[in-house]
Amino acid sequence: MISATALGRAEGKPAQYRRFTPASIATNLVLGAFGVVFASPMLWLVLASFDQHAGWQVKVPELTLGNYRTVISYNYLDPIWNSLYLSLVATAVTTAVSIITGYVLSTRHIPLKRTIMLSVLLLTGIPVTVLIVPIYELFVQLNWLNSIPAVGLLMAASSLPFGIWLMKNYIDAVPVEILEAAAVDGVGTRRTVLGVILPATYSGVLVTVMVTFINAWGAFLVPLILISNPGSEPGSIALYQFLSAFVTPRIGPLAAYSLIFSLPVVVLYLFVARRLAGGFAFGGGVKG
Amino acid sequence: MSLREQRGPSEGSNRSESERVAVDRHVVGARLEGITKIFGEEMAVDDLSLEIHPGELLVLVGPSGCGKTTTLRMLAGLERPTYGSIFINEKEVNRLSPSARNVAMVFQSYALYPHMTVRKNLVFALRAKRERAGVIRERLADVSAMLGLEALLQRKPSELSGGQRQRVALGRALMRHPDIFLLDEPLSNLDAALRTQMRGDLVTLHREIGVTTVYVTHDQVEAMTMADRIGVIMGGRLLQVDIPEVVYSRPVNVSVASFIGSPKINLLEGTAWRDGSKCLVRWDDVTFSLDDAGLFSGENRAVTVGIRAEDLSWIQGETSESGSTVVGTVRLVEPLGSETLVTLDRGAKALVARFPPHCGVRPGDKVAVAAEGRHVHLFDRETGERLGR
Repeated sequence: MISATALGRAEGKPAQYRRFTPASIATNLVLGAFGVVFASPMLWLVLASFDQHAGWQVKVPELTLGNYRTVISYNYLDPIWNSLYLSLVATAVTTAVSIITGYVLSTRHIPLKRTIMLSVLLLTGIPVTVLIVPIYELFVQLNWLNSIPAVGLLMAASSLPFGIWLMKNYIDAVPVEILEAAAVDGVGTRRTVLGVILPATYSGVLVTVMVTFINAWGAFLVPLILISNPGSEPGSIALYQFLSAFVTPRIGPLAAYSLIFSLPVVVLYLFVARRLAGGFAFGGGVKG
Repeated sequence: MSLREQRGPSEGSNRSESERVAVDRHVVGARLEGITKIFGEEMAVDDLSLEIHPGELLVLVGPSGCGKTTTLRMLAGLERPTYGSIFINEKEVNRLSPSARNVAMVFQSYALYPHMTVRKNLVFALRAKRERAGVIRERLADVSAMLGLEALLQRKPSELSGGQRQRVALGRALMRHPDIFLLDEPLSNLDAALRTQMRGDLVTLHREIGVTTVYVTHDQVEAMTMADRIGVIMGGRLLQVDIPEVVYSRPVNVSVASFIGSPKINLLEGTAWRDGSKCLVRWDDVTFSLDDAGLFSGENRAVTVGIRAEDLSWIQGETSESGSTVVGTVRLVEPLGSETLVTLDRGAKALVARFPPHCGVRPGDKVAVAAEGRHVHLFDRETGERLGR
């Protein structure tokens, strides 16, 4: 009797425990196809960068480090440093200003706050390229053309609406009693922001840093128009010139350079992702 | 005359030796003068004046939304009064920021800094003020010993129990040696057993440090058990400020009478008239006879009669009404161990009376209770104000 019941249960095993069903196979095939479409350029890039005779096809490479050597010897690393300079300026400015502005918008009484926030939201949707002609004129007037920090500032400005919006919302989530406790305890604004708000909105700050950095790092049109001095151009422009500087594109070095150029973003991403995964909660701080 | 001698009427005999030793430091009082706070259309606090004596534990009690927390927040400087003045230590502080008032506040939600350890939570404010390291170390040792926090210093708030968080929040406030200690419903997030224990701990702590304390709660038991003086706030108005015994035995109006005391006071609608040196109050067929004839003027006054449960005494064996004896049918019997609460129906009215333990009364029984005239509270039915005495 008992064994019969056990058998009955075994036969009635629910469908979701079965490993292969027509539906799951179909799903995996479709997703796999998408995966191949997205992964193959990456694969080509990695293989080509190590291939002595790199071409447009994906093939087993004739291993060499020559492509990387070429890139390094041609002074093509300078644009990477320029990119780093530009992106760090943009990231530092955007992050600092976003935190301060977000704090003020979140905690202070400001007339027309809703209107301001809606304007900020609207601005997040306007790409900086739309304004590039008047900005070019402005840069000419201010004699800022070819200046890396000036372009960094412009990139900061273009990332600011998003950063402010994000930080304001993160700071909104900090329980107001914690800020009031700091106020009653006589902790000044600077200490409150640095010692209480920043640790509590850690993940928001990291997201702002990452998004701003990536936005500035990948910027192409803005530096293309505002920087014409070969010594000041960032990596994105140098990469483009790889394609146009030689009569036949040198595919191996181009692939190697592409990988080097994407390295800082990958490193930043890994750094941020690890910290974001831990997350941050207000656990224990307030109970309500 | 020292400031300590100026304390409120509750001071005196029940104060212990330890309290006298503990504080020689400067004890300050505060005063609210005609404080009004209007949020938009809503009047949260209405022309409230209050004297807070140096060193006392003043409990502001009232139902939720009555304006008691707003009053506390105005004292702290987190809200500005719309009208009126706030004085701390005889100095007007209306325009002073919270930090300039040297008050400390413990929030209902504790408001600990979540990313900091207990130690950092405690020292953060002093560090921010660049207090000397030696002073910080000394106070940290004092406060953590006083509140039993030594073993918890390395923990984060999320790793603490409710009671422990509560103690950290208190400790954080104590670290600063504030002139005035403001507590906003500090026990409301704790379970019943812990609440009772913390209640005692807080009173002991207050005795030890002797800092002027304003404590806000909606729980009248907390107010009665902890307070040197109670301030009852309702609808933004301060109705009565006095020692717990007086607030309980001589409530100024019906609202205070029904808010303070558990079980709730029995309120009956009757008519009162004078008869020689007596005052007679009639409710239905029951007549209470009160001594004081100077209670009111005029004849046949519409009154609300208030009788507390413990003032309705059980008359065993009696089954008929006469004089001030009320006979009702038992609806509910709640044995509390040391006493039994009995709810009886009499006509449309339900009365709660306090019976002895093991009284043997069961639902459905007919029982008689009676109140002595001197225990009967009389309020004007129109205004709700107390009549006489």
